[in-house]
Order: sequence, then structure tokens, then C-alpha cells
Amino acid sequence: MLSERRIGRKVSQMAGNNSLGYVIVEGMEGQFRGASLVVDFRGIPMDFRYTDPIRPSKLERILYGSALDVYLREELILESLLSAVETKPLVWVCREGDLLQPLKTIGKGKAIFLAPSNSAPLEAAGEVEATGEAGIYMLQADSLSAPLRASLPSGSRPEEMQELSRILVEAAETMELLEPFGRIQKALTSLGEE
Amino acid sequence: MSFQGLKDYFSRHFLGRVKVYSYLWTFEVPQTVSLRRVVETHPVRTSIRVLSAALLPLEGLRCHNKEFRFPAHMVRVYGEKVRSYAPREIVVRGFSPLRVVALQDLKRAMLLPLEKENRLAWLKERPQKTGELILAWFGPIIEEALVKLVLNKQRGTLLIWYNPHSRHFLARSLYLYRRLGPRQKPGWQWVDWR
Repeated sequence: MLSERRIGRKVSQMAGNNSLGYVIVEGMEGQFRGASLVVDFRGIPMDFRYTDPIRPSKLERILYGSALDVYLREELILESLLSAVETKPLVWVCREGDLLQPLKTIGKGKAIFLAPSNSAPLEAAGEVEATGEAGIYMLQADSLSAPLRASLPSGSRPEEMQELSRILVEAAETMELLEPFGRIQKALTSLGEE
Repeated sequence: MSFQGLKDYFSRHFLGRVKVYSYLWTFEVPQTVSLRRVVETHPVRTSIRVLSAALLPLEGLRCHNKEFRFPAHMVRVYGEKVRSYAPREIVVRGFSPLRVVALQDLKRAMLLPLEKENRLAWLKERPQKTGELILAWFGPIIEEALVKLVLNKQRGTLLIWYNPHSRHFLARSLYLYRRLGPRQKPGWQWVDWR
């Protein structure tokens, strides 16, 4: 029987380190927690990390003030998750715009914000179209879905979007790009119920 | 005619003299006003009074000379040695800094199925088979890596468990169809992803 770590390493070797990392950090009703999932291009998990929920006390809320939310999300949860991950993905993906910049800084790699859209499909897979909003693109990852809303960290060059588009289109050949977010959410729900 | 008029008459006729009047024309020098504006400046800020500050007991009071603190390099002020001052961390009892530990649980992530959405709405060309009605279209799925498939009838999604040791990466599509006619059961059909 292979250990979990060995399975993760084995999947990583087979996938040729073609992997995507997904991060969720949520703060609801005064409670913060986060999780990261690294999957290969088929969606098979290679690394899963989570944090125990943190509920700041009244004293902590007073002492940290308005910086509490950012401190918890970025410096504590995100940094703890990303530093613990052993299998570094090609790209870190988040679905919260606020996480994009720290994800790139802490993750020390490529980072992208992806979200579903209701727009009509673009002509072909791999097509990237700038929207009216600054820094927001529409990315057609595959031919059987609506384009995704994509955004890069500030200061990124347009060529980086093309490079990331190539990686994501390749991954979309064998997996659904936004699907791992649902699994992380389910994992966090099951952890919360324990 | 007055006496003066009679005198002028005889003087002009007999003596050939004409009275000459003198007129002093006075020129009023126009008054010149300078276009240069004089700007008056008034301080807007109110006068500042510096009051003596009440220092907290953070070792600040120890380093003083006539109630003033000095940098460490000013070792002598009026012959008195000034001790160095360095603020120290305030210790609040019963409060410890927020900490987060990232835990790993790859096994939990492995047990969670991938949830594939029905992509029939995005399909441009459907397989033309007479007497068959396509109900749902799922993909991309790595057929050779499959362990288990379950149709979530409530959500219309397909739950997939992959073998993490699989080396297959070839993606295929799987569609659910129903033959038209009485007592016909739904069936599944694998087709190429592209």
C-alpha cells in the first residue's frame, strides 16, 4: 500500500509536473479558513492542504483593526498554505480577485484569476479577448463551454496571458478548469462537519 | 460803455495799442495707478502651541535631560550622560499572536469525486443516430483511468473517481442517450473528445 505522499509524488512524475494549483480562502461569520489543491492535468489530486478555522477574538479584532482581514487571508492563511505545498504547480488559480496579487508574490510563480461567465463562446479554443474592464480577459479554454473570465496580477505583460492561455488550454483538453474549486469546497465542508 | 472800455477804444485808435491778455493754461497731470497687485499674506493655520507630552512608561522617561529625549549618539548634554532609548514590545497578558498551521490530507482529496457538468448545450454537432435522443454530454474523461462513474440525477452531473496510479491521459466524451420507443432504457456511449 503506497503512502499518500508517495501517491502524490508518483502522480507528479507521471504528469511530468503538469499541474495546476487551486486556492480558496474564505471568511464567513467571523471565521476564516483556507485550502489548496494541486491537481494534474486530469484533475487527479497531487497535494491537498487546509487550515483549521480561525475565529479572531474581540481583543484581536480591536488590536488588528481594519488590517485583520488582509492579515488573516494573505499573511497567515495563504502564506501558510503555499509554503506547505510540496508539489509546486505550473500556475496558481484563484477565484477571488483579492488573492491574485498575493498569490503571485507568495507563490513565486504564475497566478491567474478564473471565474465562469455567461458570455457566448469565442470562435476557437485558445482564443483570448480583452473585455471593457481593465485587466480582464475572456478565455476560451475549450470548445464545449462558455469562455472564462480571466485576470492577471497587475503589472503583467500581455504575452503572459498568451503563455497562460496555452497552459490552460492544454489542461482543458483533459479536465474542467473550474471543477477543482468545487472539490475544495466539499473537502472544507466535510472537515467542518467533523 | 464803461470807463475801461472807453480807455481801450481811444488807446487802440490814437495810440495803436491793443490790450494783450495773458492766459495761464494749467495742465492737470493724469493720475497713474500701478497695475501691480499687492498680495497680503495671512497665515491660515492657527498658532501652534507645543504642550509637554505625557510619555508612557516605555523606558522613555529614563533617558532624558530637562524632559527632552536625545539620540543615543548625543552622549553628553550639558555635561549629563544621556542613556540610549529603545522602545520595547508591549506585552498584553492573555493575548498571543494569531497563528495558522497548514495540514495535509491528500487521502480526503483522493476520495472526493470529480464532478463533470453536462455540456450538451455547448455541443455544435451532435451524432446523428436515428431513433436516439441524447440526454447529456460529459467530458473530457480519461476512460482508461476510470474507477467509478455515478450519475447525479438531482444535479444532472457525472461523478467520477479516477485511479491515481493510472498513466493514461487520453480524453474521451461520454454521452447519455435514450432510444425512442416504449420501454427503452437509457444507455451510455463513449466517443472521441474531439
